[in-house]
Amino acid sequence: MTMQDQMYLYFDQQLTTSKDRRQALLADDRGDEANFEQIRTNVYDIFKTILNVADKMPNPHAFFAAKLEEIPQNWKTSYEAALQHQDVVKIQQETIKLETLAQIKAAFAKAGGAQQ
Amino acid sequence: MTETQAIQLFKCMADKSRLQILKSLAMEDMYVERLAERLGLTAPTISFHLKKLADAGAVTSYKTQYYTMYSLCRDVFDVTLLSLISAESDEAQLQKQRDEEYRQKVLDAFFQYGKLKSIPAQRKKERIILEEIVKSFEHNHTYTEREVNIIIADFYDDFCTLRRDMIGEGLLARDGNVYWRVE
Repeated sequence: MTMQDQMYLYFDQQLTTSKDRRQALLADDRGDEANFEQIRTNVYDIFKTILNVADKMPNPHAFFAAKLEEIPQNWKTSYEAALQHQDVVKIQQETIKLETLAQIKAAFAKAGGAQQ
Repeated sequence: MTETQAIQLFKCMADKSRLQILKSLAMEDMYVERLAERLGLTAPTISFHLKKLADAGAVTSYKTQYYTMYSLCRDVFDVTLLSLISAESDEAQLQKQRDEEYRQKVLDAFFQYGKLKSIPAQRKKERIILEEIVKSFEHNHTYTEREVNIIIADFYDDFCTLRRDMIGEGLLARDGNVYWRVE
């Protein structure tokens, strides 16, 4: 199985899990946490789309790896600013994005993408 | 508590995690990590919920040597739901104005030159015209049935129906042949 195939499988699994979790949270009257779960879904969606684009590039692995570093730059800046101003809501939102990113990076490394 | 504050509090409490936090704090004051462990949520999630609860005036915090402790604002929860809904609404003045406008519209539609054109079919509208007619009766004064009929007949020929309806609506009271205006 190629790196791309593994990553597509990973994203599909994570998206299904995340969507199910969001529905469960909504059903359990935990609206804000359901919204946080949606953030996670959005991050997976973003990087799945990037993987699609990467497929059309001469070096998909390098392209995807570069985007994994490039895209979260704003999230990190935003997180630092939120931390400085003790903006609890923003801190939580940016934390979820960065946590999800860390998981995607780990999955990418496991799929052998980082080495290629 | 104002209406706006009550709405913010109810919105805030309509969340299972926040309700669980409040239940925990009702037992004793706690810090973020303790609540996180108790409720199986992450510390940032607990902090998020506590911020919302604090903004709604449901919890407050204080610093100890090692932790920031959170406690329930018990006075907020001592307020009864009945006292909340009985309190004067921010919208009350506007509602009164709308009611008065509606009342005037009904009077304009059913009265012409001080005479009632017809008895409204809708009970709500009839009540408005009866309230207008009853103003012709003095407080703390008794009337014979004939006097009542004469006063009502100034407004409408079918004074019997209107007289009975005024009794039925509790605007006039009677005892035998004596009538009086209800306060």
